[in-house]
Amino acid sequence: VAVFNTCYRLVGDAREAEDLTQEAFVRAYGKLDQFDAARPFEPWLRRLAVNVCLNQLARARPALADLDERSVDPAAALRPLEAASLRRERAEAVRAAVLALPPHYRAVIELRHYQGLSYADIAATLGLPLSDVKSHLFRARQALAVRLGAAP
Amino acid sequence: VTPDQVPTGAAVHHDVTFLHAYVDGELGPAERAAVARHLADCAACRGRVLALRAFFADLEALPDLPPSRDLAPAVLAALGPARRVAPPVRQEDPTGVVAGRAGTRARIWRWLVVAGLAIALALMALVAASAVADPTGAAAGRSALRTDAAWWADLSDQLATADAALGARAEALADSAAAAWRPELAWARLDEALSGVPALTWAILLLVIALLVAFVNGALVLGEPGIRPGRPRRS
Repeated sequence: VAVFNTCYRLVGDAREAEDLTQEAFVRAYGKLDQFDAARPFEPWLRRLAVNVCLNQLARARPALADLDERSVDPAAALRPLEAASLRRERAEAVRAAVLALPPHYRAVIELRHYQGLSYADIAATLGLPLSDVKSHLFRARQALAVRLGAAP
Repeated sequence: VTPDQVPTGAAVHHDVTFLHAYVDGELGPAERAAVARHLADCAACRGRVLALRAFFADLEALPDLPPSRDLAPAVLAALGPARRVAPPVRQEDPTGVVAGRAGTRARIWRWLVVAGLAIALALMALVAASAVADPTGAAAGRSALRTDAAWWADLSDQLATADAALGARAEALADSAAAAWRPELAWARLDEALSGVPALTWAILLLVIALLVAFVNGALVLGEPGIRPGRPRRS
């Protein structure tokens, strides 16, 4: 479930997230020899899932360039779940705002806020320099804040 | 943000990234103290920190959604071919040398798991066999067998209901594995079973365990899809 939600937050489409979850597990199986058994398994798997999704997003982007906006429209995926509750609307707004970010911003938000990684671990997971992690995270948060009408 | 350099209050005030890093707990002790000093004096920045915290909490409150289908069968199906095509990969590497500590560790783990499985299987076989072979204990044995059957039925029920999501399923597996290990029960049954076992059965049993370990481990190692000699990735 955690892996599925990681993928869902990153690609915004339930079906695709399911496929990517599957791929993440298969990839994890192939990479088991790289897994350090002394560390917890799930965080490793979730970080791996982030990279699987990023690869997928990078692949899909050229082909879907103009469809992209629509294909990641979470409202479409969530329509059956739509409810009047404010809480749910807020959650949808957050989801939509995250999905409106460019993929690399989405990834840092996912790793920081949903997986609770340190800047250094995010840098290692994404293969980015630490300074990029900081600036991506900062800009991603600003973009989110603007979209969500928050203040920071 | 340069590490090991104590920012001035003005720097903190004009560079919001300090506050982000502060809220994230990513500042060194000196920077942290500097930001705290500035916050004590500056209501505007205190407000920013509060707003950031509220904003992050809002983000992180996003609820998890369940997947619409159980992903486990597809994963297993996808792994199936990987297992089958693996042997040629293995043959390209006849020495079977797997570079790196990670590979060795993985093999040790596999050994432990497989050995555990084999022993568990053999013990179950032993319990069943003794129940059948020993006429005096037959009734008790059969009831033990029936409990086993009921337990398995239970387990598959549990699995079926836990089928909704892969994660849920994995948890259920872990749970039932934990439940399966009920030492008092297992030992009592084992005791009962062992009392009626002749030496010949013991010899056969040991042989079976050894064979199982060798066979299953061999199969699993063959099933490993291309272990690449690689730098152990930092994960």
